[in-house]
Amino acid sequence: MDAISRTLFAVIGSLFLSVLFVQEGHTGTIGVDQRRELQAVEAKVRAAQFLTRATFGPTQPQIDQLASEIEQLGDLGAFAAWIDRQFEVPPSQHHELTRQMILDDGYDLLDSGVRPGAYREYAWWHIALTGEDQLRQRMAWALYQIAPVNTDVPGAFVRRLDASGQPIYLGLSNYYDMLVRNAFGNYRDLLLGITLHPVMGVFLSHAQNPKGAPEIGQFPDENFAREVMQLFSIGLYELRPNGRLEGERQKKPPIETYDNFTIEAMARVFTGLSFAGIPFDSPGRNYHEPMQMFDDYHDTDSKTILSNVVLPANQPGMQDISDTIDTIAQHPNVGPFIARLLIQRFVKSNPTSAYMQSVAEAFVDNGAGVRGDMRAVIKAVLLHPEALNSLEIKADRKTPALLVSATDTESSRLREPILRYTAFLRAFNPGSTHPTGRLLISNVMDEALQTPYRVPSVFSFYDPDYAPAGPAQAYETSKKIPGGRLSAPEFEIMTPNAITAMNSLFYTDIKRGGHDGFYTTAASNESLPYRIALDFTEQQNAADIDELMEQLNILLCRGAMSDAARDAIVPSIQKGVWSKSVRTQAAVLMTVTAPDCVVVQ
Amino acid sequence: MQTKRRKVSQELSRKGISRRDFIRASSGYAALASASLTSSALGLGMVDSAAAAIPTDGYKALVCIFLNGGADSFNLLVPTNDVEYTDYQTARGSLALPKEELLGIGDGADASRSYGLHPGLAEMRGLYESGNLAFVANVGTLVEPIDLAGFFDNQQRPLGLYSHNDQRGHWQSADPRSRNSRTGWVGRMTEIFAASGGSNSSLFANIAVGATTLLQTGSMVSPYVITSLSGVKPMAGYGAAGSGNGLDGVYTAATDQLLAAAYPDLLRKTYADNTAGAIDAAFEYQAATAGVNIETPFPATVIGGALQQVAKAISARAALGQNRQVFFVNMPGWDHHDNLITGMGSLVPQLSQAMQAFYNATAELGVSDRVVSFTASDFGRTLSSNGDGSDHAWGGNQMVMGGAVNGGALYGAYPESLVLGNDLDVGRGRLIPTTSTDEYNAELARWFGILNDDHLEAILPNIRNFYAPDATGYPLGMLG
Repeated sequence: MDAISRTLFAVIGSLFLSVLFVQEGHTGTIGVDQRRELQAVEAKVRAAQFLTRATFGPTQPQIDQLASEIEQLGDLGAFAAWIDRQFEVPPSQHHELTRQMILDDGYDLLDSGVRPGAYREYAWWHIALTGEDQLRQRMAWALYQIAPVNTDVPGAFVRRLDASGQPIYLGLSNYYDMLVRNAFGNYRDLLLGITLHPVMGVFLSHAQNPKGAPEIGQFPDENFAREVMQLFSIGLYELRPNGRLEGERQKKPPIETYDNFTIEAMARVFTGLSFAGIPFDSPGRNYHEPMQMFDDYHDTDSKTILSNVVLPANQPGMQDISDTIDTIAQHPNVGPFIARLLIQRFVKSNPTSAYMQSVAEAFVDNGAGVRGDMRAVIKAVLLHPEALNSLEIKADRKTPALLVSATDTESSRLREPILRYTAFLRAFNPGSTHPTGRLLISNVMDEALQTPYRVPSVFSFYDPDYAPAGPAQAYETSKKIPGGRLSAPEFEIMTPNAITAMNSLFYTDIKRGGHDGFYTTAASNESLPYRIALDFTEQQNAADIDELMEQLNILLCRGAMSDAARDAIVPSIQKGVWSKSVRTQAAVLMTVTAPDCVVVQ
Repeated sequence: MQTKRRKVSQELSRKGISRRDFIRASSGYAALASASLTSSALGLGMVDSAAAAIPTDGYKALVCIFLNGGADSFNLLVPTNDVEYTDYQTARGSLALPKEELLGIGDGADASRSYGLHPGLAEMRGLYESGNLAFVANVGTLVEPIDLAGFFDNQQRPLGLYSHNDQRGHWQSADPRSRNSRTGWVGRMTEIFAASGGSNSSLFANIAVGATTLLQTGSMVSPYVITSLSGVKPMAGYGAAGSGNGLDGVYTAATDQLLAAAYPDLLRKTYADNTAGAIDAAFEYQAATAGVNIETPFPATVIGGALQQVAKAISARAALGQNRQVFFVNMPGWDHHDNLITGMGSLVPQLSQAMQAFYNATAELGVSDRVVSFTASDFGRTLSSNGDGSDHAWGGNQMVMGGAVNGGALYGAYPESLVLGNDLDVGRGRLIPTTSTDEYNAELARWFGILNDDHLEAILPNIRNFYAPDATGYPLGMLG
């Protein structure tokens, strides 16, 4: 189909649409040559939308593969099968890869030339961009944002061995691997893993936390006791299974899940933990093995903790911890609380009560009577009808064209800066000139305010309840959404400078045809250049600008670029560009920065 | 609603604000978005237009230095009278600073008491003694004044006490009965200034270094966020206006069109508007600050760099079109559950040296009487130790610096005794504040130009629990 007839069809399509839909349109028209192609194109849109959520960004082969499965099994069946296959993929290992990358550059692990921060990030990006275990890694990234640690912990950049015999700086990678390992496990094990991890122990200061000595005015550290409830598990207020505040309907004030007496009691639970294999008070560290209990330093009095559970006096310390983790994991808030956070990371910022309830139910019972099965939870998140039906897709058989409409504020989420960048790189089959072929990236997202391992604090990158000033703050949601206020967490880090810095990153990479960086080796005293080359061959081969835009619409924008946006982009390119390579650059740059593709549904 | 909107347009034309400015203003960061003037219960909707005009002549700036994490401020300002020091030492145990290391100061307002500053505050002692710095003692978030009996009687008290994000939020929102406020008192103040004809109606009225802040967010305004290293950088490739040719030309032309398109989805619209605003603002901000040169040396620390950026923005105030500005500088690292003595031993001198450099820079710029810097923090910390650190608590001590400050004195009431179990101690040495953040903030707002009228009540909803409507003086007196 030539450009003129495409445009003509688009115009006819819009006219048709204005009759079809009452709603004022922000619809995108994807023209096809023949009616029988409609189904295949729709499958590609749905595949791209799903992969935008479940991976670090769709690639064309993955879209094509999943689309063909959708045509056979329907979207629900194809997605469920894809998730089941992902469950079986062996996990990529951050600690091991970081270590290997250092060795491959010729360094000894403790060499003074090793830059621990850079290598930690290199491994993170290489796995995000190339790992086969995409869903597991996406889940780990979501969990990291719920229960983060950061490079402020002492030792994060120290090139010495810890008591486990591993470099202490690799402890952060070890923490991340713990999240990766538990991503498809049970929530209770995950919470215990977080609690006992020595890096978390240092980050929230419950490592080497001795029992109090009230006679000299000394009390246990309360830091972890508070945040494990406030941020990692149950939140501040009692929730109904559908995520609404208890009492909201009766207009009663919310009920606090715990008070400071609970925190003081739970602080006594988290006493006596310290680094494995060395004495409690040792100045040494062990960042690689779970903390162990030193009962001499544990408070053995009885404790009344969350949910008024009483831990009897004189229990072994680990029994106290185990009982406490059980109590938290059993709290009715966990399902809806975790449901909301995960839906926000994977699908949309403002889940309805029905959506949260269905995820919370999967948390409570995976269908086989097991509570806290994260496989059931992520399936419920990704396969809920609200997730599957958030794009309005209509086949206009007359034209023929596919009409894709995404207009609903309450179905939207702003893509995280990191996920925008991973998706951009993955879309163009990145290859590396580093001798190992690995994709080395570090420090590129500093100004975009989102970098792996570098949350500013335990409160992560953004507040789940944040909304920017202006109309979004004033917007009143439909009754389906608890609380009535719109949330758009990612906007909290979308500062003016972060917006322009992110766009500058895209511009520079696109103009150069890849991402340029420097690395070092033990043999070389100076920085060596490498390039992550991006492959735009498919785009260069597009017959015309319309075909190019349609390729990119599916690949980078899950088919949801509106006609209005395309009409803003295409004429400018037609007017100002004569070479195919610049045409491709301009089209890619405009697509990755288009509001229709930065905000997703 | 219609009336309100018309009023805004009239306001705009009266002040000669161009449509371009208005469009930018309504695009996310700035002052006068038309859609939501009445949307916030604390916003302009409640303010009676009959309120007296706000004086907006001359230049004034407030600089909030936020000690993020909850500074252990009873180790910044320590009582040194014999009995009081012994009580302090007993309560703090291993966290007590040796008396001989403290930098002694008197209290200009009460000769019977004496204090010592943390040894890292040498520069601040100099400013205190030259009358350019004051302390406000035991200030914290309150809904209304309460005592120990009232606290345990569950009188109205702030929600989420001792929790970082709640109390950090309450310092900034001035609404301690809410755990999810979306506007801060400075943001609301900015909107009142904008509606009263103050010049700070553009997006550079509030500037934050590093990250956005609740303090400076209103229902319509957000702070302009710069970085501590480079301020801001314009967007690469954009700006080749004119030809529309080549990658840069197409990028520029197509971006302008794309961002001007209509987006029914509010998040897309917000993203488009904010991007349009960000692109223009980066050029404007860079142009305004490019020629600025501050001679005063700043320490090469994060807080030093951040305050240097603030000094640059103050220097560029005319080019930025501002006569009232509020700045926010975040200094992380104060959550000393562990290693309190060594941790503060490193942070406190950084703070003191950076604040001194900033004061010197305001003197260099000739505005030391027109800039008031003040510290704030999540909360004070427990007087009792958890071994080698302290935990989250409530009231704490803060510093206010500037030529306009009636310095060399303490304001508020330093507790008579810090012994554990004293009549302010709700447990573990968590002290009920004796001065509310509302009084502290009202003092700053009044100096900035807000009168003691319904504007002040719109900015600080609980202020009348602490400060009478017919009071003529300032709540604390350090600035008035």
